[in-house]
Amino acid sequence: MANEESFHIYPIAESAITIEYGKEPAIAANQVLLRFQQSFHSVPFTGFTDTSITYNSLTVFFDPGHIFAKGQPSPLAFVTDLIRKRIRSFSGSDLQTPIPGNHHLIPVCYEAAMAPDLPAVAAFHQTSSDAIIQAHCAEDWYVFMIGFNPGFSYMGILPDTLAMPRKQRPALQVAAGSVGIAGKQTGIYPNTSPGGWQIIGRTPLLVFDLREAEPCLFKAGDTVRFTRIDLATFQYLNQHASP
Amino acid sequence: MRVLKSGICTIQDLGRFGNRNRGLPVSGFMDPLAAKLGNLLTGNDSNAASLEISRGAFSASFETTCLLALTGKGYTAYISGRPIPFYHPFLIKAGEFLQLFPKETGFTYLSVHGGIRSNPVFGSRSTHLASKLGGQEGRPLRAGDQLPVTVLPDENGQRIIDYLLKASNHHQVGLSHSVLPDYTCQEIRFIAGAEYSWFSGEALNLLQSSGFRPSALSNRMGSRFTGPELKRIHTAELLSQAVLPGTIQVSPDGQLLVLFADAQTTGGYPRIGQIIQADLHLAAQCSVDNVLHFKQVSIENAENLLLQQEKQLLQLKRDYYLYFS
Repeated sequence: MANEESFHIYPIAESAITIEYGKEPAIAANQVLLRFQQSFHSVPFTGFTDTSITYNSLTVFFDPGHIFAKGQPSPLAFVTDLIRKRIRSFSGSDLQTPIPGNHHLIPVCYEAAMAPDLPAVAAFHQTSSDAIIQAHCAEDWYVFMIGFNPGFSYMGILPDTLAMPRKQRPALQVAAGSVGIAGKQTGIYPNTSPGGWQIIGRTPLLVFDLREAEPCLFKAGDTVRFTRIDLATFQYLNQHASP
Repeated sequence: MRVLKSGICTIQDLGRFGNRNRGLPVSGFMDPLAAKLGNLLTGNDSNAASLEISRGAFSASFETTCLLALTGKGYTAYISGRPIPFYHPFLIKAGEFLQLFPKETGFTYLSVHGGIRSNPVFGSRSTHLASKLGGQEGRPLRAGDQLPVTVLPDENGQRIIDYLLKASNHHQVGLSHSVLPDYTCQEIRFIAGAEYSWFSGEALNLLQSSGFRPSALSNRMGSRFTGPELKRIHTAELLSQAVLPGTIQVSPDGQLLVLFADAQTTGGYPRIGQIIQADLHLAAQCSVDNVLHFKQVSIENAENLLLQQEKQLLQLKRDYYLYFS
């Protein structure tokens, strides 16, 4: 049985209850929350509408009016109780089995025109741009969550040799496909938007495409390996509409 | 239905649920209470797609007789120079024009029996402009747009239409004042947010004792409210957490950021509070010349107020249909 005490469960609205687990980003904790998330989506309770996973929390959304109409005087009490029971139903070993995610090989062009902040990141770590690129391509990054904007992925955990605070003043326009660093996170801007992450490259791939049945290329639990391409390869592979 | 003139007008329904893990916002009506009342008056389910009109003049013509209702705030309406009251069902005949003129800031809903039959995207007809999704090709309506509406009314709709067709009944039936949203109310109730304790006692006092004015920089995603600087005692950076319409975040310069229908799915600013669902429409309809006051209630209280509102809507719907049967 999962140890209920380690989960902090509290409402954030009349229609949403958060399960918080741990204080720091950790892959193992995110995997446990993913396990709960899958459970709610595959066996939804009456009135369930959605979940939202983050680094260290899973928020369960529901329709209070619907649950009330089914005879529950307090939808919040009903869902809180249900979440506790669901957590207890998992055994410790259930929660330790890794959840298989997809692995993605993502081409990134780190050439100057597409990496406006790469020199600043290299300077911050007192090393060369090449060393930064090598480190960024040297490991598989784990996708913790999709959020903020449609399709925006939060990956990590970057080592201290790559981590860098976000910009003091966000850039007004970050190109679609831009790959950035913020603290110990790395991620890809799906669409052109303002943004505060340090941009070190750009992928020619669309990571969010509404024409697809599943518009998001990534989901929480996936892993991503970046691989360096040159400008000609970027142009050959480019899926972004020309501006 | 043909749009002849459109200010800022989008197609919305109750929202797009189940897509938070794609980072897609819920969207939907900014003032769900007004829109639900409009759908009730036109014999629709609450989720029927309606037009949300928020800036500039609007006009449309109709090819067939349609059962309509106007709800919300901000506009005056006319058919052929004849003023049309809000919160009343009315008929527009083939060839007639409906004209709306802005009066003050606000969202007005035009509900049509059967709803606007545009194509749903990911389970909803709501327009999300930032991702060019839903509604009419993911964009605001513009002059020349032809919107599909139901030609054959259902049983409830037909009863209301038959009633209104007797000329003497025109505009006679409408909602009483006691059930309408009170947009003059400047007290917005909230529950403590998850990071409530990150703020100084003084900041928490200021939150309830000061007035807050919405800035001109507001849209369907959210609004910045200007007031005294709310200082934090706990200054750690927050890991991004779930946010939703009604979440009150505090920006690094100590100002309130209130999220509305197009709220992002997660956010990294501390959540000082959450506007109760029963009051969210009042905050969304607040105009720049209003000053809002926030009042804290318990989560149990918030839930009761919401369930009361839901019960009242259900009762109203029963009474309304009974009236025509």
